[in-house]
Amino acid sequence: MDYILSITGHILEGCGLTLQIYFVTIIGAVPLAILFALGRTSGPKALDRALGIYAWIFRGTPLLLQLFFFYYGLTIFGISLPPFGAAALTFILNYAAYMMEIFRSGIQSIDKGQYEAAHALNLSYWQTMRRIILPQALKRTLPPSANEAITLVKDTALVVVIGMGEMLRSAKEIFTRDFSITPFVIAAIFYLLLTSVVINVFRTLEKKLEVYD
Amino acid sequence: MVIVRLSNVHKYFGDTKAVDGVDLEVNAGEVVSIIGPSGSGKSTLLRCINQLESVDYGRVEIEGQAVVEVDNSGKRSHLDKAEVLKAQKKLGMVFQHFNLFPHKTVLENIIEAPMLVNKEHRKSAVERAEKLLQQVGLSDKHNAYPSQISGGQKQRVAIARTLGMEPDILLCDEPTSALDPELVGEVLAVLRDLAKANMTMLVVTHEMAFAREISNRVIFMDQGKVLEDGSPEKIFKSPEHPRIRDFISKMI
Repeated sequence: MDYILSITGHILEGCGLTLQIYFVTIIGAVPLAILFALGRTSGPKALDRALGIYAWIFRGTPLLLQLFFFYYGLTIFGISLPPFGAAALTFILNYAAYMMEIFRSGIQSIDKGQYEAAHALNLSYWQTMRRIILPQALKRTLPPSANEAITLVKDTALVVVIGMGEMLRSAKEIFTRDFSITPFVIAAIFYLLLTSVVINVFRTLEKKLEVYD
Repeated sequence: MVIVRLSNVHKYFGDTKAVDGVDLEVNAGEVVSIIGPSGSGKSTLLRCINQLESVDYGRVEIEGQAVVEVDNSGKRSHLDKAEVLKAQKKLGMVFQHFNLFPHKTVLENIIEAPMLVNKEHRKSAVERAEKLLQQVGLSDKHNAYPSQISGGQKQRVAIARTLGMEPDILLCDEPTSALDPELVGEVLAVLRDLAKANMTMLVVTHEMAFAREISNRVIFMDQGKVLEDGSPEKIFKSPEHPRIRDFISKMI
């Protein structure tokens, strides 16, 4: 029991970094994705095309490769980011690409009549988006957004390749030291706990917003 | 006072002339109905007034202020944006499909624009909204969501929402066409009350009896043109065009 407690403590330390990457990514990627989605739906053609290329690159290459690029690759241009900075930048840009497309589909699914009513009431573009279109669009995109939020919990494990001590690496260290699979079981339980929290948050949100259907 | 003046307004969809050179004036206190076969450009004309459709050629004026002006080479006049917005605010619109905001309650639907656009305080916006709901007979529904009320009730809320912005003219685009027959009456009753209270209205409708009853003027449109513009008696009893007589005999 003491053994389990001691390794749990070690794994928890790694969990702290996992959570940091998780929240930094969410806080950075969601607003960015909303802005990008608005750019694609109501910006000029050139902006739409540029954002299309952005999505093509970030959705079309491995996250692992992107992580290598921002950590090692940028040094060629004389830019050297600390591991956390490189990880945060990579995750934000990668997740914003996926979320942008999800939000875009949500915005485009809103009935034209909503825009017309807002126009007839003299709401400005930003007022229309902020108060009328986005609340409905974001609600509709909760299920696919939950998928991304769950995937992100597990993707954080990738930062180990740029030398960061997150949860899975903590478990691996104990495994190497003691040759026991217990740390992996404990790490698995932690991941399940984290994803359960995410699932519940989204379930609560969906329930709460159900009132108006 | 002339509330709305259209001069030689044109609107094309590809090769289709939806609105083909319409001149029209609506004076304060007038109730004008626009009737005509489907596809005759009635709704498009209405939508050209508040810029839901961009005019291809012609001029739209609201209370003396031009809100759009396009010359025959397609060049748009530069108009003072603030003045245009001020003029646009005098227009209210009621849609065929209500277009209520589904994520907001009935009350929130009504107070949204006054608070956002006119920066009215919530308290006074709510007070006015309650009065408007009373006026359309829906005081008990202010906390309901649009999905929880009937089509007729939705349209009455939509009317209240529009009135919340205190427009000088109400543009109604087939306000009862999406309703079950038994719900048409309650919406027409609200519009009838507004007409009696001297609200200026421009109504696109297929309700001939209603048009005849509440209008000071009836306009018959066909193929994007105004075929005849006259009193309800004239249009319904002795129109100049046989086309109108045909249409009306089919509708009644």
